[in-house]
Amino acid sequence: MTKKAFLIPYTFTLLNWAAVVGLYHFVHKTALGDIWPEQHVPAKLQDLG
Amino acid sequence: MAHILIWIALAFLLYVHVGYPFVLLVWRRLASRPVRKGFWEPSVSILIAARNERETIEAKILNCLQLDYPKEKLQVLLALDAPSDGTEEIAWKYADKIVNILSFSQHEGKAGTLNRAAALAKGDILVFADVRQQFDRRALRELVANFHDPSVGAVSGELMLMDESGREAADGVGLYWRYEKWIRAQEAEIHSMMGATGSIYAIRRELFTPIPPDTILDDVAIPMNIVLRGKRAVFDGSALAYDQVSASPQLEYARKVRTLTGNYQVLARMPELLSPLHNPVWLQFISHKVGRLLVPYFLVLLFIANLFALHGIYLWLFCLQGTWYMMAWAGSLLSLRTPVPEAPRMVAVGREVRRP
Repeated sequence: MTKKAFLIPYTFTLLNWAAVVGLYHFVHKTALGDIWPEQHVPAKLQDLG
Repeated sequence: MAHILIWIALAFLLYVHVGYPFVLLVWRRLASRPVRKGFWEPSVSILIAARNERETIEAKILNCLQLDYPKEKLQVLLALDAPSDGTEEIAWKYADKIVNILSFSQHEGKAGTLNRAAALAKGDILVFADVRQQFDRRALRELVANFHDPSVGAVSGELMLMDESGREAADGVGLYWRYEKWIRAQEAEIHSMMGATGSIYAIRRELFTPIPPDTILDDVAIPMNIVLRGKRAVFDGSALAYDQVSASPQLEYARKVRTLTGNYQVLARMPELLSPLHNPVWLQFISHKVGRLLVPYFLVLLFIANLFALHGIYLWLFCLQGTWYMMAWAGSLLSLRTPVPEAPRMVAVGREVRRP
């Protein structure tokens, strides 16, 4: 229960931040169009640091 | 000035997260349009685009063959996008009159693969599915029943994210997904959802139009195309597919980045969605899809504007924000310390889920 109380704000913040990173990808044409997700997406996100 | 910005940001954030759901609740009470489901058996093609899925392809084919639907009216089109891990060899073992394998040697991406598969589909109803998720045995019947209503052009089923104990997940990601599904269900009862669940949705074949091969979100582009053509895209919570909840918020974050990038792409490619003259669900689209894209900027605005007004009620607001972000930071530490379990493969049997 305690862990959940911390994970909810973390998840909310992280998923909101995803909208900013999503815009970055869209503007820079790294649009992740090739979606076989588990293989490709994390690698590109790691590239972003 | 800071005070005005704070109230603008607060009003926007409250509308997106609380006000809009409340509007939906009232709207649905006043003008609900229930789908007139009727159980019938049109021909159905299940389209599954896959690339390197050696671990899961066999379970998915077997799952399709175990669905409660007449086999003579079922086509399973497995479109393989130049796999390199042996997926093709496994899939060919099941090729027969029902399971059709389309193996493309040229790598096209998911949307391009779906376009090519759809061109070869024979069913009156096209059902889109991913390899990883398992359908409930009755999912197909429930999906198809919605097309008995002539106003319905697309139907999304419900994806159940299960935790390690086999129950629907209720942690951070699970709660978020439940909230999202609730919004979709309300929107669908009024008119249409703003997209479908990629792992389980269906459309009338005559409404399919090929999408650009680099489309990120086929499950938004295809249903929204249908909505723009005057049909409804509805949600059916009795058509179930099962998946394992993301083992950590970071994995869900990666998925979310792709989704939100895809939303920007949808906006750029379908600008008519932003026009109330063309989009019959304009208010819902702006409130749900566009609103979500803008939330982080308003959160930053709220925080920065609040720094310039640290007195009275605004000080309390700043403390609330500070506490929230401190908790988020602590949550990130907790999340990093928790070992990420390997997501177990699941087999759906009726409404129960068990692991092999």
